[in-house]
Amino acid sequence: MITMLPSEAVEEYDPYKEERLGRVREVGNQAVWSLSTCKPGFGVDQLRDLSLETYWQSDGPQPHLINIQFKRKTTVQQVCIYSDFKQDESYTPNRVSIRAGTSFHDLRELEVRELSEPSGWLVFALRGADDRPLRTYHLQIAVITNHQNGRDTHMRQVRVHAPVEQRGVTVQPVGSFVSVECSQYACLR
Amino acid sequence: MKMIIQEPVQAAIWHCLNHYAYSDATFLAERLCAEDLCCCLADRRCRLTAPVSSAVQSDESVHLLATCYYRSGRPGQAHTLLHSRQPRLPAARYLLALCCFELDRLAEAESILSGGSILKPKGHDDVSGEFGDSASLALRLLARIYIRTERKAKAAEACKKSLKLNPFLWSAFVDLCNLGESVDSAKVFTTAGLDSFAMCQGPAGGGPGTEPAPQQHHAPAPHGVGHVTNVNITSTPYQTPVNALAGGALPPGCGLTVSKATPDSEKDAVRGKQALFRSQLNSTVGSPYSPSFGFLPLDTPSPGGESLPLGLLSSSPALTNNAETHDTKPGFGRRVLNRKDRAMLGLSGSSVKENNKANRLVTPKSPSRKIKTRSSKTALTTPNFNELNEKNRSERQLKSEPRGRPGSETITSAADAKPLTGQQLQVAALTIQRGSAEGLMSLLRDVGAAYQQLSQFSCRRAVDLLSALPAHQFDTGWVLSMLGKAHFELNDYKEAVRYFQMVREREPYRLETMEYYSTALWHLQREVELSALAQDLLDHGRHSAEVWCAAGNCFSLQKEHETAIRFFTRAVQVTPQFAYGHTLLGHEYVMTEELEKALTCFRRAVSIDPRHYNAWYGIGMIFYKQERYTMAEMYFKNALDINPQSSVLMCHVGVVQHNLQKTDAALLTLNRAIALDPANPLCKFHRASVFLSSERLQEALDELLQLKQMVPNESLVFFLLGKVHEKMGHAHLARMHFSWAMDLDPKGANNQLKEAIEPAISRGPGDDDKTAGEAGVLGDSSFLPADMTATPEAAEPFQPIQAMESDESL
Repeated sequence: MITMLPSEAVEEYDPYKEERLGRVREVGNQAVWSLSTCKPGFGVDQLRDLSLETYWQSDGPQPHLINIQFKRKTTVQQVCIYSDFKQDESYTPNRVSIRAGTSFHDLRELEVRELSEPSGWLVFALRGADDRPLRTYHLQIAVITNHQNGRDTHMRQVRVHAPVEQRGVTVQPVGSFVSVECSQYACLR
Repeated sequence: MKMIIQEPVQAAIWHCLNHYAYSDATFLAERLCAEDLCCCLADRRCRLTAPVSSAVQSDESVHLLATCYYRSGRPGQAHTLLHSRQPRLPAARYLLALCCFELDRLAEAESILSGGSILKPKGHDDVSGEFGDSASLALRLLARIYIRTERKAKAAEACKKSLKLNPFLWSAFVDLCNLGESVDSAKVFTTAGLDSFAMCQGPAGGGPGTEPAPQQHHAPAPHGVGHVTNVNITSTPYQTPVNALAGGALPPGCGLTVSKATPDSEKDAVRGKQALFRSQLNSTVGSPYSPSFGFLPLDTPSPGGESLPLGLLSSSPALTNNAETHDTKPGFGRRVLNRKDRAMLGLSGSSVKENNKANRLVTPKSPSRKIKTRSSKTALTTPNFNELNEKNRSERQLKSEPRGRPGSETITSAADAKPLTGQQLQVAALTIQRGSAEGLMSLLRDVGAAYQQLSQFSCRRAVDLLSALPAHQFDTGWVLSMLGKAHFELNDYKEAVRYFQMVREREPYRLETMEYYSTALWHLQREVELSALAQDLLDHGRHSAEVWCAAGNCFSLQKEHETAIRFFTRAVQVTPQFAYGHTLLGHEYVMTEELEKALTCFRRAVSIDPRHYNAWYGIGMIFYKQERYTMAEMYFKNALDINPQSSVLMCHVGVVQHNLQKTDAALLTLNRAIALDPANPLCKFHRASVFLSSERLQEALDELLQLKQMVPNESLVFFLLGKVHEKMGHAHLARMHFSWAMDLDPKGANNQLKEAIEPAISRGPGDDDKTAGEAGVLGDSSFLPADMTATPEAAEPFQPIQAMESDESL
């Protein structure tokens, strides 16, 4: 399933803002990250620090893989990747595939996306079987080709988002209360 | 010879300690200890002096050194020292037990305090016998050990006994309340049951300058009025030494001991009270300040210009020695000593051992102050009373002394020459002491009653009791923070915050209960205030768990759960026995879906404090999230048993009961909740939900309409209204309400709204007009809730759809 996206990424999506608002929760810290290859000094730390200046640079044959392995089966709602053609040019990923499964051997491709000079955050919304939220142990981001047929790739930042279980103790399946007058009574602390 | 060395040195060390010069004190104490050890061994070899006495000497110096270590904040060193030397002094053993407790060596501490064999531990009476005047504190420590090792019944017993011996130990009362015992503060805080104030003040006066008198070996703690051997009347540590009688290096704390010397024990007791003695001489005189209660001012005495002030004081205040305070109004426990009193106390014939002045004045020849010799000379002979006075006066005293009964002369010109027995003397002294302590006791009774109510979660009652306190006490940090906590437990966070703000204004250094302030701000979602609070607190006390809890709450509110977890972990590391820290950590783990870790944290909190209902609630929430409703109900009910007035807990129980299909029970619970706390909108909300799911639609509608008046800004209320209308078949109304619900939820926090609304929308008539207008209803103020009371117009049926669509974008 290949989808074409316009050259602009989804307009000004800010994953940090979403996290701050509590609509999603970043769960990358609960996982073990590994890369297929990387150049020294341009590895996982640079991929996961909160800076868009630092980046991961691969150093081997394609496809370049980012493996995210959770300790327990985690519900994942979306993956956000920051990529900028103006800065990275031939290192910018062109075709990106997201796979999920229980381990290296049974990964199933969820989405393949062809990027065209992206500049900003790319959001990959993930769904599991039967369109239910995805629950997985192992998530893999694969960079299959780069722009201008570059060998290695740069990736500046990756955020993995889980849905927030907002459901309080309520009879109906509603979320959380909006007003402070109500939400202060919604739980004890 | 050794005596000469010891006295000034010990006094010097105490002086350093009193001025917090710990390194000096430690150094000197170490030298003294070494000296003693050598002499002790020498004595034993030569058998010159009774081994007991030298052993006592070395015990004292060991205790002194250990005190130096402990006060410098090194309980480990103190422990090692005491453990190796095994002193027999009760005070030293108490210190050893305390060090063990702080180093978490609970078994050792317990065996020291109530040891005996494991099979036959000593009872509390034995403990009190063994520890003499330190008994109340030893029992208190024992109670703390029992609490840590989860032996509630024994802990309660020990606390009660400790309070009986010494009603000044507020912390014992607090622990008793926290254990869930219902104690009557009126019975606890009374000096009527006290035989003597020895337990409350210690033998040589409670002042910091005094050594633990070794006389405990010789004159064990008094039991019963008839046998009182030591009636200690001590002045407080607050007094500043006004008069340093010669040589200065005397402990400023003073103790006056009126003791009946029986000939045998006299010598020993005297010897034991050397420093006491000196301290009495030196005692602080005449600082003009006197706090309100517990003050027995000395009256100006006698005609001859010879003053015989009575140094009768109870735990607090300063003495105004020759203050002409003829304060006739007792006030908070002030009691002026009138001539009658002095006559009562005054003494002829009765033995006042330490007749300091006299003795001292003989001293000038022997600067080393061989008090022993002096005292033996004068002890039984002078009926003179203790005097805290200046040199000249004491000189006059001395001169008057040989005349025989100066005491009686000076005290009362009415020449009541009848000698009072020692017993009468003591009784009289006791009565005066009691009167003076009465002020504090009555305050403690009031405060204690309030605290008791608070610990049983009768918060309204506690608030009433606290508000009834006198204004100057009300305005203190502790009282205000208790009020804050009471409102917090009532879920009235706004009031709680108001009180905590007052606390911060008056006592910005206060750290206790600040964690509740931060949680209240968390509930109210006041980010700015909370982060300001966290900043301020961190400036003041990074070593305090409450501070880290506040910081964690701050980040939790910002949804930065990882950081919050880090800070709560820090709080827990700083004070592992702080139950609330574990609870907060547990809540954070629940937010990050790490339920096993959360469960561990809550369980730890509960093991520390079984009455910590927040932790029980937390465990219930975990089971609720796992949809194990039976367990959830059980734990919520546990929490509710502890805190029966919490409407929030009742709501939770009600909802869970409904989930378990026990709808009637659920409704009962919710009705109770509404009756208990009408200000809580969620009770009505849940009741309406229950009605809705039980198809009692009209009732649901009524409930929700009332709720709408209460909280007109709540999106979920409109959402529920929409659902009700939908079920009733009013599709149009349903759509309207859903759209209003969407309006009120600009952040789109409720994804379920969209999912729930979809079917409703699709059922509506004429919804195919998907004019792609970006201008949705968002921000359109025409849908102010106030409009809704009007009959629904058929206006703009398509706008809701547009609003929906514009929301589709991420």
